[in-house]
Amino acid sequence: MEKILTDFGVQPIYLVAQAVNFIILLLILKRFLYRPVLKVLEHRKKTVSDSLRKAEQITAQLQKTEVKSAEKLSEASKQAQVIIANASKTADRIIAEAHEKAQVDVDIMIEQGKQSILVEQEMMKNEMHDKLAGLVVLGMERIAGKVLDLPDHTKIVDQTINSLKEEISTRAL
Amino acid sequence: MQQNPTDPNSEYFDQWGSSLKQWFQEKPHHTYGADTKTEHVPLAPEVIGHIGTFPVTNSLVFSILVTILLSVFAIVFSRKITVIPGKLQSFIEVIFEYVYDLGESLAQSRIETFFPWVMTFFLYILAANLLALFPGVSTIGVNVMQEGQQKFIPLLRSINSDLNMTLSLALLSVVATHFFSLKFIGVTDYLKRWFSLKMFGVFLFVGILELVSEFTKIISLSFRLFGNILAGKVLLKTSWSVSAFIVPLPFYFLELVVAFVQAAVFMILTLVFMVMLSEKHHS
Repeated sequence: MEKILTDFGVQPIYLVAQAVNFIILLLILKRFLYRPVLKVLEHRKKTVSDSLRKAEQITAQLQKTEVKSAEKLSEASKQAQVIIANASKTADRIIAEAHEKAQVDVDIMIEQGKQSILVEQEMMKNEMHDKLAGLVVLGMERIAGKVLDLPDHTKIVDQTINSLKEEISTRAL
Repeated sequence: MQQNPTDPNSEYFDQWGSSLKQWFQEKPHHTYGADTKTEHVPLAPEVIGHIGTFPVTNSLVFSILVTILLSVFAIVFSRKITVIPGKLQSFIEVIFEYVYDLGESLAQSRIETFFPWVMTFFLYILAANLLALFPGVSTIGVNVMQEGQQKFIPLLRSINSDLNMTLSLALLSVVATHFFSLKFIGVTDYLKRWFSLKMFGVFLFVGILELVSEFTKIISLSFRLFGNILAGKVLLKTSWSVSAFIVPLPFYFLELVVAFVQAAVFMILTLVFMVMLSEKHHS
């Protein structure tokens, strides 16, 4: 064994020297190479995992928002349909009411018209009676040459009116 | 005797053998290249000077040189590390991440402790092997007179072609492995691995085998690396002796592969040993 070590030039001092050399290198590399590089790798891994997590959160949020918006849209559509139905009902009711009111007004107006016509008719009848009576009196005065008294007037007027009435009735038939 | 190439007893072969021997004797004068002084690759490193009483070998100088280069690189590189990596940083990150993930799959959280060790083994051995292929290493040196003969002593020698260096690395690897084993599984479980309460029969034998295997690790780690690199060096020297141009090229490519493979093997074996010894023994 000793001969082998001598042949290969193995000496404890060189083993120690090399070991010290290696340990110095190990410490330097650990301080200046491994630690910063591993730190950067760790930082990058963390950034990537954070980004992925955020992206997942955003996707989940987006899906939730989509579901919510669909729900809102559906709800709004239902509400709109209800509003439209209500409006339609209200409109029908208003139209019906307006119709009814207009009918009532028309009836009232017709009734009022009828009343007015009747009044006008009566007034015209009376006026015509007076004018006719006047004309008859005037005619009789011219024919008889005397001024008729009240009983004469009344008698003549009644006779004329009765004859007129008969005439009108005959024409109407 | 006749000169008949088909007759093994003819003079033809004697003459051919003599001329071949003569060619080998004269060969150093007929080869080309930087290192034509000697074809011999010594097993032991050469002493190139002394610091006080401490003899400095060419492999030790090269080892210090590699350490300085790697340290300077690490310090300069650490100042240029950014979140968005450049090409060099990406390359280094890919290697680190691969080794770290590989280690993590084997050692889980313990990789934080193991990683600096295994990565330093890899980088150091790889850098040493690759730098040893540069021109000048093992070829630039001085001629000295030793025992009345002129001898060429290179100023730099491939680190891993010196058993001192590989043995030292292997010892460090095994010592660190046992230290981490004690750290992670505790003294009791550590001792249980070697010395069972049932110290008789097969258990005693297994315990002894385990102890022997620990020494085998030192020998296998050191001699594998040493043997491969020294063989590569001899191969390159042999190819230079044929011609300094073209002929060594395929061997250089081979040595590039060997440099990487040996560094990776040393690193992976160390990692595996560390993982194995830092797990509780279920006997």
